[in-house]
Amino acid sequence: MLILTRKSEESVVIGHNIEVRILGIRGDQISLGFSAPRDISIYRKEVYDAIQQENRQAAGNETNAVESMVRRLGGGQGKPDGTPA
Amino acid sequence: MNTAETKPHATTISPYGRLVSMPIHSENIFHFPAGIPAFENVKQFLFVMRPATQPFVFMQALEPADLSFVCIDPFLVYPGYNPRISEADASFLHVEKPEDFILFSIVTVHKDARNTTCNLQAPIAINLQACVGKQVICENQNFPIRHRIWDALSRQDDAEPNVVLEGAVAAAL
Repeated sequence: MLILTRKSEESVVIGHNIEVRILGIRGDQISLGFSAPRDISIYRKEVYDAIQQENRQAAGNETNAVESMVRRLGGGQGKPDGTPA
Repeated sequence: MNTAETKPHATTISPYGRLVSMPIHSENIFHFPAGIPAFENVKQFLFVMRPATQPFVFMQALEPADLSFVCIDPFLVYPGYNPRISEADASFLHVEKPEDFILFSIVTVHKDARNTTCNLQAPIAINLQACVGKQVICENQNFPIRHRIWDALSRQDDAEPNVVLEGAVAAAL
């Protein structure tokens, strides 16, 4: 990992079109400002990690489980009140 | 090939909340240039609907073929859902107006069906015109990553007929 030391109001540039600026430091919190092309998304890492984890858990081939759930809900080809179609 | 003979079926999703006509057929491959979190290298998905599994929709990877996600229309299970799509995401998806895209929520199926949840914090947004998709993260809104859906779906049994799906594309597989 590249390590750079920056002061408040200083920046780093990533590639030629992404800038990260230190806007302020208060206690153990740092405010960062990002300038990046419009289509670049920027997330807090713990949020991205949580979405990754949920996607891994959701991935699979759940056709049978879904069919059985839909039957219990009375959807699909059955009747809404649970009586046989 | 998009010839007159292979005209897409109109698929209507969700009479609750909103009505969307989705042109989807076996050749409707959606491109996910960024993949989705944890599956960043998976770039192409099909959306498959079957009468036996409605209102659920399957988001099926082209490669690897055994990778599939269960999705649901989030408006069906969370009335008042109003995620804000960031400018970055709208730009990424080439969305110019709200009608250009629809949202799905990825479902995590649990052994006990009553604990099945859907992810409202990071819906799948797809641009129907450009056939581009992305899992967008609505970071600053407090929508849950795990929203239980059983009760909402059970309640709808007493309501009007469930989601209307015409022209199911089971043939896509």
